[in-house]
Formats: sequence, C-alpha cells, structure tokens
Amino acid sequence: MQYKTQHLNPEQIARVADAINSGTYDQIPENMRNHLLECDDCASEVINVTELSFNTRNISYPFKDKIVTTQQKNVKKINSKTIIGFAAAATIISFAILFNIPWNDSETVQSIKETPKVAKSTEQNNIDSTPQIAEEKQIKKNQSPLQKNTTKKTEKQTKKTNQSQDNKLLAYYKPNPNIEKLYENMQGNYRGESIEVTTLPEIKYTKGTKIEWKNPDKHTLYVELFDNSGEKIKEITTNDTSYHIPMLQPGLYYWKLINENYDLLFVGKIIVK
Amino acid sequence: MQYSNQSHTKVQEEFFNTLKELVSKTVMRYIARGIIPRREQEDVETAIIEKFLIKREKIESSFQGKAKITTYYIAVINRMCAEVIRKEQKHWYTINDQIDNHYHQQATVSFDTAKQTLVTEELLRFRASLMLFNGIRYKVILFLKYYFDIPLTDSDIKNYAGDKTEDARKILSERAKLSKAEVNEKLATLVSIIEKKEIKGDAVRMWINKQMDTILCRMNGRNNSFHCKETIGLMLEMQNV
Repeated sequence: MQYKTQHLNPEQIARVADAINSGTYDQIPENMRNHLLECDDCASEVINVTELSFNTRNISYPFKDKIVTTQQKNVKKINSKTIIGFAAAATIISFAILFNIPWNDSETVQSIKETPKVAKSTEQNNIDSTPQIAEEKQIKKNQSPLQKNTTKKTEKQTKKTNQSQDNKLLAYYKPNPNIEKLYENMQGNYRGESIEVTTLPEIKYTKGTKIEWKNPDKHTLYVELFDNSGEKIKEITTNDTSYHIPMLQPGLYYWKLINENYDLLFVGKIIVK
Repeated sequence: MQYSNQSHTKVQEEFFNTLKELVSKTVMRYIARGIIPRREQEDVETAIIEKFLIKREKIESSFQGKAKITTYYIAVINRMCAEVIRKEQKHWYTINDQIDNHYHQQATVSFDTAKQTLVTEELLRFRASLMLFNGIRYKVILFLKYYFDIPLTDSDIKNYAGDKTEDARKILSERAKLSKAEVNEKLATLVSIIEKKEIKGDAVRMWINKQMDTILCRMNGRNNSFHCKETIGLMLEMQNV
C-alpha cells in the first residue's frame, strides 16, 4: 500500500514504457515496479505511452540542444574576436618594446647601475619597502616624458592582456548550467541495476586518471566526454570497467555513462588544472 | 547572427511539426478507442499543443535524460490529453451524436486495415499490462491460459513452477474435460505444491477474477465497454506470451 502514495512522473512513465518496448522491464528500479503493481492510474498511463511510443520515430535529439549549439556558435564568434584583440595587443606591445627598449638607453643603463645606491637611500627613508619598487621608481624618474607615456601605455596593455587571459581561463571553468542540472540530479540516484560507478562524482585530472565502474555482466556502455560549453569532445563504446581520460586542456569537463538502451547512468565532473 | 536566427527558426519549425505529429497520434488513439469523439479531434489537438507550448520550458527543464526524449514528450502529451478528456468529456456526450454518426457512415474498405491496426495496438497494450504484473506475471499468464483453456507451452509452466515443472505438468493435464470449478481446484493444488500455501478453489477463482479486473481497468481506462473478460482470452490466444 505504501507505493500508492507517490505517482510516477512523466519521465518515469516514459522510462518504464521504453523498458517494456525494449524488453528490459526487469531493470527498472524495484520501487517503481512495485508501485505499478498496485497503482492502476500509473499502470494505465504506462500502457498508453508504451503503445504510443512503439514504432514512433525518434526525434534526432533534444531541440533544446540544437539551440544550445547555436549559442555555442555565438560563443565561438566572441572567442575569435577575443583572439584578434589579443593578437593586436601583442603586436602593439612588441612594437613598444622594439622602439623603447630601456636597456638601449645609456642613461637608463646608468640609472639601473645606480639603483642599489638609490634603493639603499630609499630604504633609509622608509618610503619604498622593496628594492624592486625602488628600481622601478628610479627608472621612471630617469625617463623622458615621451618614454613615460609609452611605458604607461605598455603597462596598461599588459594589464589588459593579463585580464583577458584571466577571463579566458575563467571561461574554461565556467559550469555548464544544462549539464550541471543533470549532474545534480544524478547524485545519489539510481545508476542501473548491475552497473555502479565507483569513481567520485567530481575528480581532479592528473596524468593517467581513469574513471571506473562495476560492470559484472559486461554490458555495452557509452562514455561521452563534454567540455564546459556542452560540446561533445570524445565518445567511446566499451564493455570494460574503466576509461583512461585522455590529455585535456585546463578547464572543466563532464562525462556521461550511458547504457545500451541509451539510459543515462551517471554524470561526473573532471577538473583539469 | 543571421545564420543563428535562421537555424533557430528551422529548429523551431522542426519542433512544431514533430509536436503536431505526436499530439495527433495520441489523440487518434483515444478516438479509435471511443474516448474522444472524432468531431472533437481538431479542438483537442489545438488545446494540447497550446498547453504544451505554454509549459514547454518547464517540460524541457524537468527532463533528466533517463528516458528517450520522444517517449518523454509522448508521456507529457498523453497526460495533457487525459486532462482535456477529464474536463471536456461531460460536454462531448451531452450533445446529440448526429455529427459523429456521419463519420461512422463514411467507413469504407480501409476499415479492415484500420481494424487490423487496432488489434495489433491492443495486443501491444495487453503485453504491456501483463508485464506490469512484475513478480507474479508468469503466474497470471499460466492461470489465465489454463482458465481460458488455451494450450500451455513448456515455458508457461516452467516460468511459474521452476524445478517442479514435471509435477505441475501432471496436475495441469487433461484440461478440456474439466468444469470451471474443477479448474479452480486443480490450480489450488498447484499453488499448494509450488508456493506451499493451502488454499481452496474458490480463492483461486477470486484471485483470477481480481487479476482480470486489474487488466480490464488498466486497458480500458475511461472506456469500460472496450474490453471484457472474453477479450482477455482472445488476446491471450492471439499473442505468444
């Protein structure tokens, strides 16, 4: 009687219908099967959906994902713009370095040579805390106004470049909301009757790291690897119990374990530093 | 940008066409089973599509990827269709059914093909309803077959009796000569050997009736006149369960 209380949601109904159509009803979690034994409403719904979905052509893949793909294209466009900006900044910096190299300037060279003395004096005055800062200040003092302007510009550009680099790096670790939702939903949930994932949901990548699961019946499984933009970067079919993660660029990655009936068994995260 | 807009429109169009196809298929099944009058087809389809589009975001965000997306959409549409039926059924059957009679009169030679499709679909439903009996599935199949005097296969007996298949086969022999009461007694003997439970023929009769009521309730849904106990026997005979 306890099973009467919680009715199955549409996805659970669909899952049972898929299992009946593929002859794998026995692999459905026991609590769901027990509920269906007693609940005529849910059973009736399952019967309807089983019949309706039998021989129905499959939708190519969620339409939502296609929209995401379009967004990904936009993201790619933004990325290419960033790269162009980055290249332009690098060219300007190299020009600035070529035409204003301080060590080509005899005055500056002399001032650099004098810096230890200056540093000592500044230390005494307790104005600057480190010799490096003192050095920089002394160089700035010895620079002509034009040189000062160029140095400022170069500093700004370097700052910008560093910032864009940081942003870019941060972007590689930005969680993907769609996969995150799947990841959260999979935690502590049913992962298949005989297949149990032994790897932690979130792992840090080091060379040779592998993801592992128990597969005593040697079922065919699909392992899919996604980057944080949701783009599939690797897909393998296996009936093994582990998979060696390939070399990856720093960033956040996700992996999915799918069984031969295309039931999603597990979603995990891989962090590459 | 233009490319992404075009692609987005194409995806939306594709989605809408598929949605229409799935809704139409679902509604047609309810019409075929006499739950929705044919004249209401367009209205019901529009109501479901409208409902689906309003709730689309919620529907898609609830999907966890544990079933096929098509089946999931069908499950959602089926539930929406059931809601429409619940709301509108009273109005449908208070109207004079003259318009619907017009549709029935239009039946042509294609009716036979439609009938054949309907039978196949009902057999599918029957198979699914038996599957849902879970642990007692094989017992239900064996007892119903014996009750309706349908020839038993080795696997029918073995699936229920296990290592006592030979004993079970002896008990279940010579079915044709038995009356209903004797059938129940034989099955009671079988239960006592296989399940080690002492029960009487009357308990078996009640159990079989209960299982048949469950099948009928699940298969008929809102149309109680669609299947009866005799059709269970027919379907058991027609499909190799």
